[in-house]
Amino acid sequence: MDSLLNAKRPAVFCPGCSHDRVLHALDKALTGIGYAGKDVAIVTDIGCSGLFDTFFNTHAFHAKVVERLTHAAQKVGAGQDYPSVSSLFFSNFILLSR
Amino acid sequence: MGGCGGRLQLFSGYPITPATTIYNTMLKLLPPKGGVCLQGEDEIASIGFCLGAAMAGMKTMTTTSGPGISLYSEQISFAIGSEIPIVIVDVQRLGPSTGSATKGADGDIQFLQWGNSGGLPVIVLAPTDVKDCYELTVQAFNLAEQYRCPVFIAANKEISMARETLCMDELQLPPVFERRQADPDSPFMPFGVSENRQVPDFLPIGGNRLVRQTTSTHGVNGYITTDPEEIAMMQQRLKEKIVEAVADFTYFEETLVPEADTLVVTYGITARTAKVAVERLKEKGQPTSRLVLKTLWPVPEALICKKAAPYKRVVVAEMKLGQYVREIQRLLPGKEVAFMG
Repeated sequence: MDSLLNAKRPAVFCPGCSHDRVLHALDKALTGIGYAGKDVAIVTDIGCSGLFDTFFNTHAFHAKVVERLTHAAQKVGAGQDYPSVSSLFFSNFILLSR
Repeated sequence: MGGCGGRLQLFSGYPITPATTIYNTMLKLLPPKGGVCLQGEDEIASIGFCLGAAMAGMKTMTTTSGPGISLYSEQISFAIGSEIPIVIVDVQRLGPSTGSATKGADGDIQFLQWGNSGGLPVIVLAPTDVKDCYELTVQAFNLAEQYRCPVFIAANKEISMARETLCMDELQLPPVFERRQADPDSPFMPFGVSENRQVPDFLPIGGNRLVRQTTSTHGVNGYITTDPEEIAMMQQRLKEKIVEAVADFTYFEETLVPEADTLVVTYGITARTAKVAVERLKEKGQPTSRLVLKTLWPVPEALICKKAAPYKRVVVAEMKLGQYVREIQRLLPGKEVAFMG
């Protein structure tokens, strides 16, 4: 897959903002690993990086104080269809993937 | 035990007297049944575990006391706005703040409804004894799943730390309600509702179909919206799905005494004191009736108005300086409403 970005919802960061580069780097990393959209849940907090979930075609969980939601999903993974979830912490968003 | 009866799958909490007894019981009951029992690093984490698990499809519960409800606040708002089922038990203790760990009170009754941002309704059930704790907790799980919202059990120290004998054969338990799953053949809108329904169907985050979950003001597709009509529709639905359904979960108990001119309206542990008081008054030739509310929020307005109508005087008895009496007073403007607490 070339990209997990949502073509219908292009990123809307301010001109020159580095968030845009991080967004594309993340997309490149995810597709490079070979993930499909259903393999990834992007869990975001508030602020501009909190918009990341809206720019991707993945599962999304947008809230406040989100770290624990992620942890919960990891724990749940033991008993549900959510195997070997790994998490990455960026600024104030978290990525879950199979 | 009521949680298990309601098919609880994940419990998470942070210890606080007088709620810790439930946590300890969960440690014994839940893992052998294949459930998960977790301690968070604090209250925010504990309820966060529950919300994450609930959106992966599990039935979840957390317990705390007043100070923990304060810390839960944002997560409660999250559950309301994102329509996440969860059962929250508040074993009330004397406040404000950390107050007294081992003294009971019903000081959180308004706080449970209004201690979150947005001003939307929640469901609060109030047990009077251990039997109620069991039955209402099963009901709470059903209501959380049915209406996709937080449901509180407003217990207090006297109820939750007392030891009582419970005859399991006497329990009146409803069938267990399972969350409605979205139709696999239709396009999925995480906050869309089908005709004549007020509650969205569910799909778990992490499944094969993409699910968007958000606290931000959203449309039916789960994306942020600024459309005034869409926002108004969502706000209205979040209110109506609970307020308009209250007749379906108006739980109460009553002692009707012939020729009584006074009705005692009460809830929680105070209902038991009121029971003895009503018996004594009857012996003294002062017949008095008793109405015990087990659904506190949304306020069961129709029930209260109907039950109070025949009486000259209403006395509201509660274990604080007067919280729920405000609701009774606004419903019965032409009647004498006294407070005792």
